[in-house]
Amino acid sequence: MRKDTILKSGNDADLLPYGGADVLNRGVPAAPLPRGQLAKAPRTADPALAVACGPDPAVACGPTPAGTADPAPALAAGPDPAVAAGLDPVVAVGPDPALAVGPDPVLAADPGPGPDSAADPFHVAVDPGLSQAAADIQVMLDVMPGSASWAVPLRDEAGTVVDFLHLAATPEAEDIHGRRGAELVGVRTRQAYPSVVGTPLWQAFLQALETGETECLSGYEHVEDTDGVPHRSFYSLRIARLSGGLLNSWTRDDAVLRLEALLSRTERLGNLGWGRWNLVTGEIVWSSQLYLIHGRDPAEGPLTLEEYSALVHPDDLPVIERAKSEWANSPEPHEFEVRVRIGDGVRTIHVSTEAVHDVAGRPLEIHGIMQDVTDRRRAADDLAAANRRLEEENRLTADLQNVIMPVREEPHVLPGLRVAARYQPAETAAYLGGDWYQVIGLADGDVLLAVGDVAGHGLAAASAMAKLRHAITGLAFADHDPAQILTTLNRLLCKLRPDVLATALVARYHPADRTLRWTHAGHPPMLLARGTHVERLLHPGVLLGVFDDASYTCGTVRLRPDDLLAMFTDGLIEKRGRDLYEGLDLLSGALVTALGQPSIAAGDRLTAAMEAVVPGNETDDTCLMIAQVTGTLSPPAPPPHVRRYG
Amino acid sequence: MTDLHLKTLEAELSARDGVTAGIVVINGIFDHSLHVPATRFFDEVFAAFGPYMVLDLMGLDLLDSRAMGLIVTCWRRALDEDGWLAMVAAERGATRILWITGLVTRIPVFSTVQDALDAQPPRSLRN
Repeated sequence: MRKDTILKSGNDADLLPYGGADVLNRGVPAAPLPRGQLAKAPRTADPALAVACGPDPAVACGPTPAGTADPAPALAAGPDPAVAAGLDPVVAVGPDPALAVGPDPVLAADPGPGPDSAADPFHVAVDPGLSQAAADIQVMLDVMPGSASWAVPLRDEAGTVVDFLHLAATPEAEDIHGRRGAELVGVRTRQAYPSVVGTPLWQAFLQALETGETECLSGYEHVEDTDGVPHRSFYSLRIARLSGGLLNSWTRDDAVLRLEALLSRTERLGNLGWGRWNLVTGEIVWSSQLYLIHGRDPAEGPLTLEEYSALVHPDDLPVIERAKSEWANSPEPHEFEVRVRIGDGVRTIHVSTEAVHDVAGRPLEIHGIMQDVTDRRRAADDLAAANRRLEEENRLTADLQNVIMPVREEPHVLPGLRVAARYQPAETAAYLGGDWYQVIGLADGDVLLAVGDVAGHGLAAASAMAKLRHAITGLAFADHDPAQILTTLNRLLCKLRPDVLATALVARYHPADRTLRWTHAGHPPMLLARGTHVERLLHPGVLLGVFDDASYTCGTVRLRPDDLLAMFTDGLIEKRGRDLYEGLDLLSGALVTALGQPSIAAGDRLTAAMEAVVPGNETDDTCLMIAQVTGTLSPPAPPPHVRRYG
Repeated sequence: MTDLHLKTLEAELSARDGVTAGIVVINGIFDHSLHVPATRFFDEVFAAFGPYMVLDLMGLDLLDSRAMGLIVTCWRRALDEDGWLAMVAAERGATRILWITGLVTRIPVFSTVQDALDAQPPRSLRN
C-alpha cells in the first residue's frame, strides 16, 4: 500500500448539526427508539427498491414501491438491496456490528415497531430529516459534474460508526465496480468495498465526520479483490461533512498514474532515461532513471553538456561535436553512441535526440532518450567474436577439404577405370565435416577406391577425416588388402582417437582381371550398375573406432567393361522418416532410369549416372564417387619389394 | 524416482524407472544438433538410474552417425561401470543404420522394452 498524502482544509461553512438526539429522533413515530437501539421496521411489500424520501413527494426520484408501510414517496435505491429511509441514521445492528454488512441488508421504512422487525435485525432506519436532506442534496448533485456522493454514517449500539450508507450521487459518479449515478444510492461502503476498512480513505471518512474538517487524499491506492484477483486503482478524494453525512467527491487518477508507472517501468526495463536541455534558459531536466544510469545523485542535478562531454571517451568526442552540429542545423532525429566514464567503468550509451527549433531555425530545446547498451553491446561483441571464430573454422574446414579433395571437374583416368567424384558440402557451413573419398592409382597398377564418413562436423571431424584418408592411402600403398587396411585402421582409431567414430568403404580394383575386392566398415552398400540393371554390393563389417578387436574380411566381384560402381556416403540416401534402404532403392531407380535412356552411349554412362544422382539430405555433406570400367589392362610388372596379396 | 525429460523442436527424450534398469525412450530426430543436450541428459540418466539402461529407439525418425556415437559412448560407460545397456530397435526405418554399422553385433538389441528387461543379466555379470 503506498503512502498517501492527506491534506486537511477547514470547511465549517458546510457543516450542519448532526448526531444530537434531538436531530436523530426528530419525527420519530409513535414509539421512538432511543439512540443506538435497533430500529425494527417491517419490510416493505417490495423491499427490493425502497428508500423513503421523507415528506416531500416532489423529491421522489424513483419508482414508488407498492405497499410501503410509510405513505411517503419512495426514493429508488438502485440495484442494491432495498433501502427504506427511517428516522434515525444510527444503525443498531444487533450484538455484532460486522453482521450488519450482510449479503442482503434490508433498509426499510420504519413505521414503528412491528412483528416483522423483531425477526430481522439488519434494518437501517434513517431520520426523515436526513431523508429530506438526501433529497435536497440529490437535487444539488443532479446538476453537478464529476463523481460525488453523499453518505450517512451507520452506527452500532455503542455509537461507533460501522459503515456509511450512500443516499445521493451525481449522475456521473462511478465507483470501482462500474456502478453509476443512481446505482450508487443505497450502497453501503463496507459492503461494497470491503477492503476499505483500515485504509487512509476510511480514516479520512471517520476524521471528517468527527472533526468537521475536510479531508483531501491524493494518490489514494485502492485494492479490491474480484474473484481472488486484486484490482488496483488510484483516486484523489475530497471528503467534507455535510448535513449530518459526508459529501465525498473523487477523481480517478489511474490514467496519469498508470502512465507514470508504465514510463517508469519502461525506463527501468530498458535501462533508459529521458532528458531535456533548454538551450535558451539553460534548464536541464533528467528523469530519475537517467541519474541511475549515470550513477549520479539526483541531488547533484543533471550534467550540463560540457560536463557530460568531459566524461565521454576522447575517441568519441567527435561524435558529440557532430551531434551538436546536427542539433543546430536540423530538427530531424539524430542518434549516436558514445562511451562514457561512469564510476570506475566505461558504459556505452545510445542517445536518440531531437532538437526543437524556433521559426528562425534556431535550436531552442533538445529532447533525448539515453539508453545504457553496454551489456547488449558486450553480448553482441561476444557473439560477433564467436561468429568470426566459427567462420574461421568453417573456412579452415573448407580449405582443408579442398586441399584433401580438390574439386576436379574431369574424371580421373586410371588403369582400367574412369572415376568421377563429387563432394557436396552441407547447406549449413557449420556442418561441413567428415565425408571423404579417395581414388588413386597404386604402385602395383591396382586402383584404390574409398569413401568414408567421420561422425561429427567442423574442424575436428575434417582433421580426423584427413588422417583416416591418408592412413588408408598409405596402407594401400603398403599393399594391404581392404580387410587388412580396415582392421589396422580400426585398432589405430581405438588406440589413438577413441573419441572418433567412422565408417568406410574401401575397395581395391585389379584391372588385369577386372577383379574388385572390398570391405565395408559400418558403411552403406555400394551399387553396381551393369547395363540397366542395378544391384547392391555389401560385405558388412562393424564401424571403425568402437570395438578394438573387430576384424574384417573382403568381398570379391569380377566386373565387366562399362560396369558402373557407385560409392557414396549416407547423406546421399538418408532422409528423415525414411528407411536408408528406401533411399538406396530410389537411388538405384534413378540410375536405372538414367542409364536406360536410348541416347546414352557407353561413353556417356558415367556422366549420365553422375547427373542422375542428387543428395537426399542437403543438411549433411555428401560424397559420391562413380567408377566406370573401361577395359582390361595388363598389369605393370610389380616392383620387387611389392608383395601381392591374396 | 523422478522421470527425466528433454524436449526439443524435433526430438523428445524421456527416462523412467524400469525397476531393474532405466528406460530411455527417444523419439523424433536424434542427430548432431542434439549432441550437447543429449549428453547432459544421459549424464542425468546415469545419475538417476545407474549404469543399467534400455534405449527404446523405435520412435526415431532419423539416427545420424553423431547420435550413434552418443549411444556407443553410453554403452561403453555402462560397461565401464559394470552395468548393462540394450537397445530396442528394428531392422527397418531409422534404426536400420544400427545393422549397417554392425553395432547390433555387439550391443544387444530387442524387439520390445519388456524383452530387453527380461534378458537383463544378473547385476554381477557383464554383458
